[in-house]
This record gives sequence, C-alpha cells and structure tokens, in this order.
Amino acid sequence: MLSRVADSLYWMSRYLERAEHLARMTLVRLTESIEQTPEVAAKDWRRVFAALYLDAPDDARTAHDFVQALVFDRTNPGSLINCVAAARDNARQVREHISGEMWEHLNRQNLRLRATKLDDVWSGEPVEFFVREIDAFNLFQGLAGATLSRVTSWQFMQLGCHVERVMLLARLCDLFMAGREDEGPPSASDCVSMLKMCSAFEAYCRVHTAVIRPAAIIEFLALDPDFPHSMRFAADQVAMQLFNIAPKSEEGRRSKPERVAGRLTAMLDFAEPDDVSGERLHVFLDQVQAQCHAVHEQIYATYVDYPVEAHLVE
Amino acid sequence: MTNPFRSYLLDEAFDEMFTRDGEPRPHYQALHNLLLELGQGEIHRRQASVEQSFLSQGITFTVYGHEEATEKIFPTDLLPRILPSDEWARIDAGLRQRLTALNLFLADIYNDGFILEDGVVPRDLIFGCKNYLRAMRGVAVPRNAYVNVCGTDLVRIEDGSFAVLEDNLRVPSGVSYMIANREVLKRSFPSLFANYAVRPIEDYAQALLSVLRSLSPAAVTSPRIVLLTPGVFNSAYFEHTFLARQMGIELVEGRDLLVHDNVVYMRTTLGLKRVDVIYRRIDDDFIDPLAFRSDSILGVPGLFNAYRAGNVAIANALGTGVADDKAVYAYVPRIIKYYLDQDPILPNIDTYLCREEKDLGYVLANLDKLVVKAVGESGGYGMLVGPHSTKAEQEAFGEKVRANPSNYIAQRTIALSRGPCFVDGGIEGRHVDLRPFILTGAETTVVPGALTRVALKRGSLVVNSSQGGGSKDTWVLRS
Repeated sequence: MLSRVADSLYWMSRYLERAEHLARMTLVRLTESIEQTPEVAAKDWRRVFAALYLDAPDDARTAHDFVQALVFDRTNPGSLINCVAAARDNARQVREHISGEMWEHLNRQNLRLRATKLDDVWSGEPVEFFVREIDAFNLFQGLAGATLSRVTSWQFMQLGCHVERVMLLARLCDLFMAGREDEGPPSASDCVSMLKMCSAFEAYCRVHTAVIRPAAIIEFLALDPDFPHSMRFAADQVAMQLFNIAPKSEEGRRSKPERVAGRLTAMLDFAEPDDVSGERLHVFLDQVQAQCHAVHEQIYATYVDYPVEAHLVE
Repeated sequence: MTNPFRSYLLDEAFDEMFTRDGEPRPHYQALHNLLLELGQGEIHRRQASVEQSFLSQGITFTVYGHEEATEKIFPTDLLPRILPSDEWARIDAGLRQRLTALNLFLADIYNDGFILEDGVVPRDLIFGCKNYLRAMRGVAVPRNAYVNVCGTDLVRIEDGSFAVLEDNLRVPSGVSYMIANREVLKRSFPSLFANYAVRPIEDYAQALLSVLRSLSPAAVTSPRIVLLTPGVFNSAYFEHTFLARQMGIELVEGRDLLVHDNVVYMRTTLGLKRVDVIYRRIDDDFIDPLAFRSDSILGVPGLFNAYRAGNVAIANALGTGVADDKAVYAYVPRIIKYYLDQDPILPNIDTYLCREEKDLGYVLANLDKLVVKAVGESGGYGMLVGPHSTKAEQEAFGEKVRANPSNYIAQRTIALSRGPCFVDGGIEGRHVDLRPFILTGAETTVVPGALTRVALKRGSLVVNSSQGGGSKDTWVLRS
C-alpha cells in the first residue's frame, strides 16, 4: 500500500473517532446541563473542551454558545463539522481503498452537517440531532466491517481509530478523575457522566453493578481487557494491527513500531491497582498519552516518512 | 398531462430527434413515445433523483473561486443521445484512420521528419509550436503508439454529417462521465433498453488496462501500472479515482514516486516498489521539474530520464500536444493523405491559416463572419467570434492578426446540431457535440459510445463544463 494512502486512512479514522467521541461527550453534557446552575454547567462544559484538547471561547456562557463552538464553529479545526470534513477529505483521496458504501455514507453525513444550522437543531430536539449523528458514525464502522477486506487498508484504519481512542480515554480520565486539585474528589454524577461519555455505563454496571466507585471506574476504563472503549482493549488493538502490518522477518524479531506499542500494552496489561489510584493516577495517564505519541511517531518513521536509503534493495 | 415537447423549437440547425417537419426520426421513436407516456412530472422526478445520486456518490468536478461549494456535480441530462449503427460505422472508421495517421505523424516528426522534408507540413510550424518537445527527438516510444488515449471532439453540422472540431491528444478527460451516465440511465429508464440494442461500454477500463499492459518494457512479465494524478484539487480527480478503481491499479501522486538510478519507484508501507507503466493525467510541462518546468510540485524529478532510458512507459507519450495544435489541425487531412494515401473519412471544419497569404486576406476581409482563434490558447481565450462582435472589436483583433499572422487561424461559424434535453420542466433542443474515446496500444479500439456534451443554456454553443455545459449518455446501436 502506498505510504500516502496508509497515512490518509489512518487520519480518516482518527478524525472519525475524535468526532464520534466529541458527539457522545456533547450529548451527555447537554442532557446533564439541563439540571445544573449556569456556573456549574459552564465549568463542566469547559472540562469537555479540555478533554478534547480544545480551548473553549472566553465569552461562551450558555449551552448554546458551547455547542456552537464545539460542533458548528467553522473556524475551530477541532469542531465536529471540521473533523467530519477532514475525515471526508482524507477518504476522498483514498476512495479506491474504501468501499463505495463507506464513501457515500461519509460524504452524505458531511453534506448533511454542512447544511445544518445550530438554530435549527436548537429549536427542535437537540438530543435527537446528536443521537442521529452518533448512529451515523456507528453505521460507518458497521459498513467498514461488512464491506472491507481485512487487508492493509483495514489495518491502518483500525490503527488510527484505536491510537486516537487510547489518547482520548486517557485524557478524559485525567481531567475527570486526576487533574482536579482544587475541586475535590469527583461526584457520583461526574462519574456517571464520564462512563456515559465512553458509552461504558451499561458495561460497567454489568461488571460492578450500579454502585459507583471511582476506583472501580478508573480500573474499568483503563484496564478492562474486554470492553472496546477501555484503554487496554484499544491498546491491544493497536499492537495487534501493528503486528498484522509488519513485514514478517525471518529472525522473528518484532518491528520497531510493535516494540514501542508493546511498552504501552505492557503498562496497561501489568498495571497494579495502585498505579491507577491517588497521586499516581495522573502520572500514569500522562505516560499513556506519551506512549501513544511515541507509537504514532514510530508508525510515521517506519511506514510513511522513511528515508529512501533504508529501502532501496527490493 | 402536459405535453413535455410543447416549447420545442426547430430551425436551421440539425436536430438529433426530429426531422425538419417535426416527425421523430425512426431511431428516436421509442424514446419519444416513452416521454409522452411518462409526462413532465415523472421525468422531473427521475431527473431529481439522478442529481441526488451524483451528489452523494461525489461524482463532482471542482470549481475554483467559491469559498464553500468547491465541488459541483457535472449536470447530466436524462435523455439519451442515440446514434444508429451506420452512422457509427463511419465515425469508427474515420477515428481509426485519423489516429493512425496522427501516430505516424508524431513518430515521423520526432525522428526522421520526412513529412517536413517533403514540405507537406511547414518545418517552422512544427518547430515553432510550443507543444513541440525537442527533448523527445529520437526517444523510443513503445510500439510507436504516441497517443494511447484520444478523445476527439466531433460536431454534426447543418447537413447532418459529422466533422472533427478538435483532436485531444494530451490528457483527454470525460470518460468517467460516459460510464457514469450509462449507469444512471440503466437505473432511470430500464424499460427503454428493451426497445434498443445498445452497445455496452463497461469494458472501457479493461481495454485501457490491456493497452497500458502492452506498453510495458519488454523484460517485465507482470508490469506494475499506476495512474499518476495531480491530486485531489484537480478538476478531473473523480475520474482519476474512478479509473484507478476500475482497473485495480494504484492511484499515485508525484510525491508517491521517486527515481533512483533511472528507475521509478513508489513509496509503500512495505518499502519501495518498482513502477513499469505510468498512465499520467498530468501535462507534459509539469511531469518532471528537472526536465521541464522547475516550479512544478506535481511531477517527479528525474522521471524523464527514466523514460528516455526505457525503464518506464508513459501514456500518453510526451510531446503529443504538437499534433492537436490548432494550426497543425488544418494540415490533418494532408497528413492522412501523406501517410495513408487516403482521403479523410471524417472531414475537418474548413480552416483558414493566417500564415498563408491568400487565407490571411480572406480572413481580414470577413472578420464579421468567422471565428478567429489564437493557436496557442484554449478554453475560449484569445478568440474572436465574428457574428457576435462589434466593429471596434473586429478592428482591434484584425490588428493583432496582422501583427502576427502565423499565430491565428479562422473557421466559419457552425450551427452545432441540437438534441432534446430536459430543461426547466419541459423538453427543449440544446446544442450538443460528441466526444468518442479511442485507445491504441498493440491494437486500436474505438469505444462504442461517447460523451455527448450539452450546452444547457438556451442558444449557447459552449459545451464546456466550466461554462454551463452538461453531458448525456450516448447510445450506439447494434446493426
């Protein structure tokens, strides 16, 4: 596969994962802000921005302002419509590597979002809008699963999606659980909304019942081996895809990206409960994000932007 | 139900569907009946559904200068243009003849130059042409097939016969619309196909692939073939992705390729892979910044040397633009005569060469009747349309022609034929041209179909997509 194509597929997936995560967080936040005082609501909105590595506009006060900036702002490269447009632009460059079904679905979603105005959403049922968009993201994944061969293009898409997922989960947990020096421990409703933002509430309850224990939640989101929106599950996917992508060497030695990803999975596979509690949680989550960056860079150095001399012998 | 034909106008231009006294021609009878039966509302509904389907499939071309809508659909008209088999047989033979002669001409002027020696085509016309590529002299071209993909523009003139308006020998486009239009028609009017024996065109991609395969350097048994695109911002990008997908070959940009030791490689996730044949959709000037325009970022440095060394085949060959130059066009009948000793089956539009004294006199005296074109320009620039110009414009243009006669040619104004189109809720006649596609490698294939381009504005003769043109499916009937 062409390096440029791999790069586009990888980024298409990252943008879609980010967009879906953003839509889910916004939906949860929107529902919860209804019962909050304006001050608390604004503070929680700002946390959502931070969890997405975005800056909230200084003059934003109401849910309407925040949703405008988060979802519809064309000047904000991280807004939902811009993430979808970026995913679609990447898809357009690699149309021959994804299925017609996937392309048309994504193209339609992009056209629909471009034509939607916040005020139309606001005057109807805003929740409805987000549910529909989240469904659209899931449908895309379903179409990919049903129509793509499990070859290199699929592997790079899965890679992008899961690298992004580990990072977003680590960042979210960090802001909701660890980085709250001045705010005291997270409230039960903070914990529930965090779970819902990872579509993990039901899955958590099935394992731990509806008893909300922050320590159990963080263990679930960071270390659970079976839940798709846990850091460990996503990191395992990253490692697995890198294994699939790597050319098989005769010495049986793992490729460089696999070795870097192995450090990330090892961190999550062999973590002690102590590593993800109290003071150490923030450091741990920071390291997870740093490892994700390292994996990303190694993917580039090996598959996308390698020096020509390294590959002249065919 | 309203008759959709109520505002259909007939005049001196040839009409594809109706005879002069308003009767549908025999091969249009079934379509005519169907349209009357469906009525305007139903046709409108089907037209809208086609547009929606093009938009969601992203069958678009790029328009610059808008902030938002940079991608527009290429308007498609639902009503097919129908060509009976006897008419097509003539077109087929004429196109083969013309392309055979033009390939011989290119091989000659880049090698021995017999035709120049014999004074059939003036030497200075060729060597002075900006599309003549000096670097191509003596370069071996696989099978001497310089033009592998050709899209010739034909028009039907007043008496109902076809003539050649332009040869597109560089990187002709539009074939994806030919195929997409057919797909659409099969969906919109499935029943109509039962009334017509329409020749299929779906195998275009396989035919093109086998042409490309036949160009591969001799030593290679299973060549790696790629399609080189300028990238996603090119107006024909949809077509590039479409063809690459249909042929199952890699779609590459200049930055995906590199040349080492005169061998072309592409950069993949599993290292560098050698490339044997390049179907390029980039103009000569931009293909190699070391050999041609140094400011090009679309091309591949060193590609021309690899090509000259015979390590990679490029289709179309470089330097073919000299043969579709507007002044060289006027010599094509003589070129056909020279190489094949035949009269052209498809005539040219009468062309006056201002470089020749007697033609110049005639052109200057008749500026109000003629279309005068600068040879180096395209897309309607540097052109005077006599009947639509003012006296002052004619005088100013006449000055320019006098100052540099060899830069100008003139043609009489022609009334392109008209075909029925669905516009503004009814059916009206609009001017159309015809772009068939011809492939040449080991052998020559004329695709039994074409892109019919339509000037959708009433009275307009301009069929270019950038200026309000659209297209429609073209049916070539079996005999």
